[in-house]
Amino acid sequence: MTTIWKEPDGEKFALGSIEEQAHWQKEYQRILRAVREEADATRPAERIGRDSHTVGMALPRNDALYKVRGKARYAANIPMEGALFCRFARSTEAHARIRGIDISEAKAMPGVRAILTADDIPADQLLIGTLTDDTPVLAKDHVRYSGEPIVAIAAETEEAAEAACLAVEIDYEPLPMILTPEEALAPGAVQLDPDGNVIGDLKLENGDIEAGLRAADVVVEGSFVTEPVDHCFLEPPSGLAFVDPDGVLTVMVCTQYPHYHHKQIARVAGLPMEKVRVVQTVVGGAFGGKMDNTVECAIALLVLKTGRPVRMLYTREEVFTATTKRHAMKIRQKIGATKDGRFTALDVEYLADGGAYRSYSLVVGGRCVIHTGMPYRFPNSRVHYVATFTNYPPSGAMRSFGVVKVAFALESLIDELAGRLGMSPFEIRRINGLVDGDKTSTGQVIHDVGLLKTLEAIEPIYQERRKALAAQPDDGLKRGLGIACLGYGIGYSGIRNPSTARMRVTADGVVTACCGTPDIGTGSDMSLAQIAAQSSGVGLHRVRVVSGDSTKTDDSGPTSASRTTYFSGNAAYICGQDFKRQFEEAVARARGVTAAQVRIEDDRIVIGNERLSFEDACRLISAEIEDICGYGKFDPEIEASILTFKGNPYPTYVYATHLVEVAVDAELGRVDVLRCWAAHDAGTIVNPTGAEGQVDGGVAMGIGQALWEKVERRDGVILNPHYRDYLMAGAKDVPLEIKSIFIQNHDRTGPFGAKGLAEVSLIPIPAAIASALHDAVGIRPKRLPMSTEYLLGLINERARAAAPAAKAAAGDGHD
Amino acid sequence: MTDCRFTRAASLGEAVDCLQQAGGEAHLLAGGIALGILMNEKLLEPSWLIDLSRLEDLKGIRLNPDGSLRIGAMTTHREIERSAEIAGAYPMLIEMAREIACGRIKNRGTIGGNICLADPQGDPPVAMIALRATLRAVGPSGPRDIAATAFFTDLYTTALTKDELLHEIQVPAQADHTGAAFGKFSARRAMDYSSTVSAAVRLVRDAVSGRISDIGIGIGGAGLIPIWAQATEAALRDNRPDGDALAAMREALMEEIEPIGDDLYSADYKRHVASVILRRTLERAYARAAAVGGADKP
Repeated sequence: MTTIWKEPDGEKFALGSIEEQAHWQKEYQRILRAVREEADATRPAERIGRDSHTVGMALPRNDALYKVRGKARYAANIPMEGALFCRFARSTEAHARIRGIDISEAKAMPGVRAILTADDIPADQLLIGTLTDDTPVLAKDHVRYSGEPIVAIAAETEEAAEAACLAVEIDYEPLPMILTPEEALAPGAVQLDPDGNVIGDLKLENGDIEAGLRAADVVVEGSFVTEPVDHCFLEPPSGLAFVDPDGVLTVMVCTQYPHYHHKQIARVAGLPMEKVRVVQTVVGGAFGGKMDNTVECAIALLVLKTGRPVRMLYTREEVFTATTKRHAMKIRQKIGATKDGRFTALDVEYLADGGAYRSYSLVVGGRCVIHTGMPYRFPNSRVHYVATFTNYPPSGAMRSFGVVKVAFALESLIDELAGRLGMSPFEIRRINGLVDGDKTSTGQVIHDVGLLKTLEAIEPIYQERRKALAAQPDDGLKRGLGIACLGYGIGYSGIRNPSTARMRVTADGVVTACCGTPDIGTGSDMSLAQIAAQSSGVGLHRVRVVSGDSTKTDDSGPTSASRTTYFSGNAAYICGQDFKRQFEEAVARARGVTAAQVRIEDDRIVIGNERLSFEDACRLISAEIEDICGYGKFDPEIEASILTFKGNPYPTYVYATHLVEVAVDAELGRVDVLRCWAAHDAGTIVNPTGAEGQVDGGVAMGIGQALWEKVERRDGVILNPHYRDYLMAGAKDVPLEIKSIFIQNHDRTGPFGAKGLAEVSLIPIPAAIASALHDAVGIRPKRLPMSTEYLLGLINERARAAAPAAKAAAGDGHD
Repeated sequence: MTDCRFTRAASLGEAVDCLQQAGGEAHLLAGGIALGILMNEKLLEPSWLIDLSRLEDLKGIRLNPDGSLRIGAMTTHREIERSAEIAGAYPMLIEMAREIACGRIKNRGTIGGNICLADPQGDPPVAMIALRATLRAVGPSGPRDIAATAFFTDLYTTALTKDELLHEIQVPAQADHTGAAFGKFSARRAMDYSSTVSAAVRLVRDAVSGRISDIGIGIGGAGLIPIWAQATEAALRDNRPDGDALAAMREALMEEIEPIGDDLYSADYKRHVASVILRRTLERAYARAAAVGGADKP
């Protein structure tokens, strides 16, 4: 008898009860809406019509449908006949000399096809890196963290590769470990890098700090500590490499920066650049964690060694123990203000744990230094940032490049200062907040500053919730409100970082826009299509964006630093204008009229009184249509001294004010974030659907990093390399009410006035939660994550401190 | 990867025979939740898996006419959460099932598998201790009844012998004026396995004096095993849950639990959490007992 599986009643997707699903519904509705809209129309054209004016329209993302249908091609599931699987044998020591590597047993194991060690790579091709080539593809004679790759093995199956890795014998001579920056800086400390233990020592001075402190009526100070955090992208690093029929070594990989791998692979493999191609696959989350080399160089070299395709996919444990992390950081900070609330001085010291190699430590450092004090006027400031090596996995880029911690410290102290001065958190920020024409600490004069508008958007909500909380019946929980602000520079810090775009059209009217920076799951391909369409005047439906392929786009830097909408968007805008001009000129030539008589308008070609469809126009100019190639390069003048940081480090800045409402179980230290309002000045919002998704994600990530997330490390080992003991926010922890408010602000330098958004929605959240905790239970947390036990300790400490005072006040102080 | 023998047992007898043949080397597959994790992480490579999914004998929920409850070992957490019979007679078990992990785990995971894993953080074990359930095992020599209070013997170790399996859980009928509640602490709302502390309380409230005449308490996540808090029960018995009794309860609890500090929380913090969660759960159980009344109530 055949068994027919019957779906249990009411459990279609095993998602749980309706009650449980409530937490998911908001996100589901967003996805469902996108999918339905896309599925409803056979072609998006019919839904969007022939409109080219789509900037600002809430559109379904062009990746939604294939993703929910399971058709997205991640590197791990791209079919490839005969692909070998690669795994690393990794260091089990945090710091050691390698005395010997014995691969004889591994070599003899079934299914093993190739084994790669550092000795197989010429010494001058072994080291790679982002700013400095300091990281060996495979460790040679020195390992600097537990988890560092030493041997790469390609075998017929993942199991065979893994078994062979276990059979590799590595003889270590353990060396003393450096586990903290303090140890790294101690006299006589063992040196981890040929250049010493300091990765960077950065300073920024503005005005006269001593005079600023003297001028202050009130000075508040605090020491803050933050722990390392993992990116928690769902798709681990993965790649598939092969040699294509033209003999080009092709590496398909989930990355934020295909051109970086392109250069590195060419160098490591000793191949000319044109013999290497890097193609970005669908990226399952990145957040700064897919900017460094992981699988790329190893699988490329193994393809050359075996002549067969090679695939690699990290395990979750490898993600936690061997990919970059957010820097653990200690921050000492002092701010001074006058009685009427004007800031006079800001003095900050950062000490960051950079891990075993440089990665993006200097970039994080530079950004933290420049953003210290943002988005406020501090006439006098002094910033000192030191990052050192330690024997932990490298610390690298992660959403905001450290600014989430800068904001946590600064916003917390501003809140405290406001309390000391008896001012509202809004008032003190209004007095000191940056406005058009102000100078930042680097001396940059800034424009189109929407900070105060975001404060204005949030303040009435705050007042209304304040009243609602006062009327809230007692349920044993303490409720509180907190705000935090931010200002965030778009793009690389103080270094030119151009982006380019090219647009062509086929005779049947398909427009291809090759854009510089890849879509890493943010929906940027959709936004770039909107910008290119509106700029050129063609309908959005005919624009295909191509990105993330080293053979099809210029190196326009990574998708990071919230730069794609602004930099690549501007490139797409300029390119669209160029395309439009060339197209109009071609039509004019074909018709024997002047170019001024022709224009593309809403996907039609207007020639005097005549209107041609875009397709007809393409046919008309078919002889020269291939010659049309719109080109756009956006390369704003950015310059800041690498020694003093003086100059104009960013072309524009994004601003925000966030408000959160929390409920605290004061007996346990437990916190629920109940509501969140996030007001952003991100300039023009190109696609509100994508923007809202970014904010929801930023808030969720911010809650996790504020309350729970911590890579637990001891003696050179990561103790919690699984999601079961690395706690990020789950669906039930994210407020059902996250309200995105995008204030009207047109950036004069942005494409159609747009700035950028991705990282910033995360940045104020931990600070806003800390501020809400003060409002609720009177404590000032200074650690991230703010664990329940830590918070309970602060609550108890405060109660103890208050007890004698209360007794005395009650006249009960006779003991 | 080593070869693994797989038997989908067609009868309880066959499952027991296999266990006996394997001489302690087999693993029972119920919902496969913990087993799946251990196998995925290669911490366990079973040589023989005995699948219990076809054993109808091990399934189902039955409320007996005398008010007692029978739950088959292979009943899923979801079935318990949604059971109308249980909701009426044993609302505490609904609370317990709600607290378990997440939807997908509730759909697959079984109460028997959870109890036999004997995880100190497990939710069903402490509930069964508080309810004074009987765990019916079956082995080569037939059925054997083990009190839930005596079932958990050491870390991940139960009173089952290596050729026995858990057949069903029998929960005795609840006396009049009984109130029961389940409480759990976790730092985040989404599934949190790492460092939870839970308390299950069942008590009988004397309708006249308001004193607790009978009580059962189980504490989870506060030691090597799900804890039967006997001295804590004694501190509350014949008392109203107020001032002195609560202080005595706390003192007794501190003696009985032995939480282990981990990377998230210190042992001291877990002690504090256990006492708060127990007090709150006790208060809820007591309020319920006062509200339900009993047959002798006018």
